[in-house]
Amino acid sequence: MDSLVKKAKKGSKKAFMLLVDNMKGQMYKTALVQLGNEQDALDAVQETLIKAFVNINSLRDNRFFKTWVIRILMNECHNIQKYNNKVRPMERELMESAECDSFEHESCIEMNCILDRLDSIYRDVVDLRYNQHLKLAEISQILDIPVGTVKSRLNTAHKLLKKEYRQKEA
Amino acid sequence: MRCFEVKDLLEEHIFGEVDETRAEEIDSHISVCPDCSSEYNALKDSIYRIEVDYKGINIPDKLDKISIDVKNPGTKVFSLKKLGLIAACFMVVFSISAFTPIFAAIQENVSDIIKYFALGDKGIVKSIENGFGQTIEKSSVDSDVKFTVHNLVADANRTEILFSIEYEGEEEFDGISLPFSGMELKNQFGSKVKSSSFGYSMRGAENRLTGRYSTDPLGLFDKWVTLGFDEISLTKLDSRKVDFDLKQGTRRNLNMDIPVESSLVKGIVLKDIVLGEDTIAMDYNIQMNSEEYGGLRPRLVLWTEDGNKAFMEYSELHTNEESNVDRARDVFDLKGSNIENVKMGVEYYDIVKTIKGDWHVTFRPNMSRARNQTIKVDINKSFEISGHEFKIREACFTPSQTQVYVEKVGYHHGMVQLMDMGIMSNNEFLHRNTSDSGGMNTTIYKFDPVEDFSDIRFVIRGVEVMDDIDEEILLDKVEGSGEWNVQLNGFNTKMKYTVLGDNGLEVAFEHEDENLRGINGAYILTDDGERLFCSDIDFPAPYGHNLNRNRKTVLKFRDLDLKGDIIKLHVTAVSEYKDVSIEIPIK
Repeated sequence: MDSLVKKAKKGSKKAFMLLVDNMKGQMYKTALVQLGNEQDALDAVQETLIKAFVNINSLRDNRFFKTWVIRILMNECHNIQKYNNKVRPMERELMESAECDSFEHESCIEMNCILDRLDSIYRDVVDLRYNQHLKLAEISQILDIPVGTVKSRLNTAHKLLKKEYRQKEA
Repeated sequence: MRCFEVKDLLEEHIFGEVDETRAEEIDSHISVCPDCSSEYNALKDSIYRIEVDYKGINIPDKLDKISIDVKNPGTKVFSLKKLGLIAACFMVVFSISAFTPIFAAIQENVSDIIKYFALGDKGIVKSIENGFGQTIEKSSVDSDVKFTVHNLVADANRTEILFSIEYEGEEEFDGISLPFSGMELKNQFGSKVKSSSFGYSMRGAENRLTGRYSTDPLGLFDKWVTLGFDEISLTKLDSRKVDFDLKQGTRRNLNMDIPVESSLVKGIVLKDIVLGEDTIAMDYNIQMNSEEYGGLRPRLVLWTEDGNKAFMEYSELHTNEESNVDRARDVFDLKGSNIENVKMGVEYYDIVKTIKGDWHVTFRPNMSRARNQTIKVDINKSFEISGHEFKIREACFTPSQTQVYVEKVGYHHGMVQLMDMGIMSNNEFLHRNTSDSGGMNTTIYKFDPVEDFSDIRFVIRGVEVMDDIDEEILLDKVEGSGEWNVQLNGFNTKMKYTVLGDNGLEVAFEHEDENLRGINGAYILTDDGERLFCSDIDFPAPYGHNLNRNRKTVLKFRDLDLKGDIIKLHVTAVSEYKDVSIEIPIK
């Protein structure tokens, strides 16, 4: 891995693409869980890869390549989310029709799972741990929180998921 | 090892991140401790389920095509600030689309419009993909504003015109807005295209707005149509924090003024804050300075612990034409956030500049292709629910939508509402777009278009029925407040009453059973035999939705004579959700 990172730093796109080839799938899943739709997720991954390649020389220790890229991805997802929140929702009040139906919240269309129901702080740790398979220390680095907090959030996440799964089965 | 030490390491142990010695200790502890053992198994289950969910995510083929080749590295393509994310996404979509037949077939300008609108209404996308859309691409320019009509989807069920508005001037602003009935569609005679239902919705930011104008199907005499408007406003979105202590819990009749800096808003008054288990409902009044830009009303917002906006579960707006004061109720889901860390704010728009001008685009709708694909079916099949008759009159299938006309036969008094219903096409439910009134007693249910006509059925699984009952509840020695369990139409409820002032009474029914939707009527029988009906009913919000939460109906009575010993309360109607199983074949 180290030699590939070195080559990528020297400008080799091929080396970079080899490095990230195995990561793309998990990155997409992370972005999808954050953003809720395929297109935004693809955009996020694309943006992240480009930013990572362009800035690869700012990575000091080559061993941390994966966590470094994931960090860029999380930032990218947050940017897109912040932008999506800024865009005004469909102005239903302008529709002059007799009966209007409820508008479904646009999230988790691809995933038929319950992760969507978690608050983002729990969803982040769950994703980094069980999708990206990162160690607690690495998660703590990416999210800028102490390891103890990572553990307690994972704990709470499992409790919340247990409740959701039970309700789903009911 | 102690239990708490083991529990602390269970998660890492499952991942094999604990050193050998301690791993052995944990294993032997689990084998003898039922508490830790069950927690260990529960944790393994949870992790397994999460991994299954992740494995189930479908990776799109487009992911393989992602590359870091940027065609023009110097352009603003990836600068999110200036061009806006819409432009960036569109560019990215376009570069990936070289390999994707679907997007390549759709006009560049149209793909970003449908990206935002298509989610709730795939019919428009399907129509365009299958060649039933008509490319217009005509513009009208006036005073730095460019109005472009991109595409037309028109068939026997509806008309959708996709447009965009761009501002190329110097001002600083975040969005563009049109006044209420700002857009008009006219035919070649200059008459407004006849429609019982029309409107436009827009999506965008910064200097570009994309939107769709929707209306009933075009008439036979609408040969040439013109879509136009004569005023737009540039808007700015701002927000500020509201200094309010949420920790104190539910409070009513606050009448707290919330100041905003906007020429559009006259005032906002916070009335009630109601704390639920995981939700907050905020009731507030809004008075706007101008009715024209009603879509730009301010909103209260909540920020949860992690700095994100709380998810708005439900929102209701009551406009009062006489007093100009709108009542809003927004219900937020806090999803476990600690109330101490939840902050309140208000978001509002201000108008930076209003631009008047003349923008109109004229084009000729060509509906011949769509016409050939239209199928109208007379059905006229009746069914009955709780003694009330319904009839499915007809259905109309077009490339962009499926419409079903359902009539209430006879006078229903609003007693039965179809709740959980839809169209099944080849064993799959079609997504429901919306419903409309088709005249007296007729509702038009609208769904995504049908692709497989082999087995189409109209299916009803659940309805809400209002039952007339007359159940008497005797309240004795009414003073202060009291609480006890009561059965209403077979449902267990918890009833709590509170005396209000001199001669008022508030009675709240809390019902856990999610099939009991609410209490719809009640009166108090006086000693003289008079019926004093309740003055106010506050239904559980969101009314009509099937949420797994405690539901509470609050009834208020005024002008009572509370001096007597016993109060005779009569509940006259309750709403229930009932499961039904009705299937009517359409084709």
